[in-house]
Amino acid sequence: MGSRLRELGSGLGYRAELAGVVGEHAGRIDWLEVITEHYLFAPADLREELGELAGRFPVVPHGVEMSIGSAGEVDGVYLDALAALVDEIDAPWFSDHLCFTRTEDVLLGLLAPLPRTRDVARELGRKARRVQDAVGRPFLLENITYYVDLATPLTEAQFIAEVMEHCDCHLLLDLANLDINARNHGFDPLGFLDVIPVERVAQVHLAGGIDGVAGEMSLDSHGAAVPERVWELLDELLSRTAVPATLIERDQNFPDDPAELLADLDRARARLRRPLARDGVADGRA
Amino acid sequence: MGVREALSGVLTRAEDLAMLRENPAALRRRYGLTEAELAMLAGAPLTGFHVTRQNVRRKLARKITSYLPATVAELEASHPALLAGFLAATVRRPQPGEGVTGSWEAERLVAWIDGRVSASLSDFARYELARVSLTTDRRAAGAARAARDTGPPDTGAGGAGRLRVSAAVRVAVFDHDVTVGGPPGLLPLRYTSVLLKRGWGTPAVRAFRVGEGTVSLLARCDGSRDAAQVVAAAGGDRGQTAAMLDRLIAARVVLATTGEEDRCESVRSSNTHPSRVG
Ligand SMILES: [Fe+2]
Repeated sequence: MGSRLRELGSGLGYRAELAGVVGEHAGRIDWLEVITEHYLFAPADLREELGELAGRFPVVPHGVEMSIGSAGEVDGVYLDALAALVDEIDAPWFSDHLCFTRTEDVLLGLLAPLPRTRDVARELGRKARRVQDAVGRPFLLENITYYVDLATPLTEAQFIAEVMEHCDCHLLLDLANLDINARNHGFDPLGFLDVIPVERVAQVHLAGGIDGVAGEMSLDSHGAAVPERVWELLDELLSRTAVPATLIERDQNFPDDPAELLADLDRARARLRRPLARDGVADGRA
Repeated sequence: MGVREALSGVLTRAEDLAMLRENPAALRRRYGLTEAELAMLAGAPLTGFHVTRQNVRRKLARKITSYLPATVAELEASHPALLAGFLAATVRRPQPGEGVTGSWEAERLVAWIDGRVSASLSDFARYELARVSLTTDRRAAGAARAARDTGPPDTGAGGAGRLRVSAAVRVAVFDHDVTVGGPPGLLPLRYTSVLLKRGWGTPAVRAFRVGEGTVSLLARCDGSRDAAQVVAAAGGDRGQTAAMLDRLIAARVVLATTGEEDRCESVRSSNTHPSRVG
């Protein structure tokens, strides 16, 4: 599964609030990402709606509750249902996060950071391989936004690189998360790109958040247009490697006028189509 | 136990957060941490814990809002402190298997406000929960699809099959009339029986006020009697009862079952008796 994945282009995170935009502007949306848990154990009419979407677009399920970082194995019932869902919509891949969302006693309901140690990374790699084998499609793991910066032996980038050493899965690199983490925790996002295996990035998330003021932390809200800093990170990433797919994530402050979302979609597509800068053809002189 | 458990504790229990700040050795003991594991937590800037604790509550608020939008809106408007108290006091518990997408949190909220808000709002919250539970019930959706896909039902109270209430149907009773609309905290005090029916697609659920006679007739359609036996068991005017039963069959609220599989389903079903939710 280490081979290059299908080029999906510029996609949009599907939310019920965006159904109108998706219906009216299908020609400007190359593919859709849906939240896995919205459909995983859903009644048949909702699954039928998903099937209709999958008939019009490539659809990728993006999970938030696998909790691959929890102790023990991933829940078998969840995994079986995920495999069935992925198969039903013929998803090119599926994704979830490098995090934990629950322990045996507590459901946090959010993407919580893991202790970044080599042991945890190795264990995650093993579990990721197992999940990928069980589902039978490429599994992408996403970097989260974290506000608790555990004083761990590995940096986030080293931890991700270590996980990737132990599996043949791909990365879903959320550049908005990278931007926010870098600013909140004071590291260089380009240095982060130096450490992770960028050639394993199969998909990018792009979103806007809330900039922290007066020393407050910046927040990952998925509630604004993609900021310039994140576009610059995309340019930087694309100067280092080709990426098959980008995705605009929007979870709140849905704009009345879809122009903003559509402009971000077009901009991402244009970036993907631009030849790689490292080949000396970025300005179109090829 | 280790860093993940301790972090979860610090993010959900004020006591654990205080321990991290003031008595890390006690936190270490509580979660069986090694010195290195405690150092990971103790070395993290505190601001991050505060931001994440808020996010934990926000996620819970989002979850209950997705299930009970009108109830939460009313609580936000009329009982903000009560709602904040629920968010602060509730530690979510992992639910196995399908429970990962279940309504545990919404059920907790409905139980939490009972006795703390007006009986009207409490009734309304139960009504909203009953509707969303039926919407997300896969068996109910399956029954709605079957109703869409099959031809008109065989009516005539003299039919041979045993009768049961469709899996697409729930009956619930309330002390307030939850069907009238208007402010959820000011519903008229009027004993009300409601039949909720799952449809295919949108709207997922329709609500109908029904009388006592219908409720009692539905309770007898438990998979053990055929139409004649249901009518006989219901008592009263046989002609009127038979006509009412015909209407329920025509509306696919009541189904005639003959197969072994159907009978098993009716045994498992919990929808044949009205749930007292008022
Ligand atoms: Fe993301």
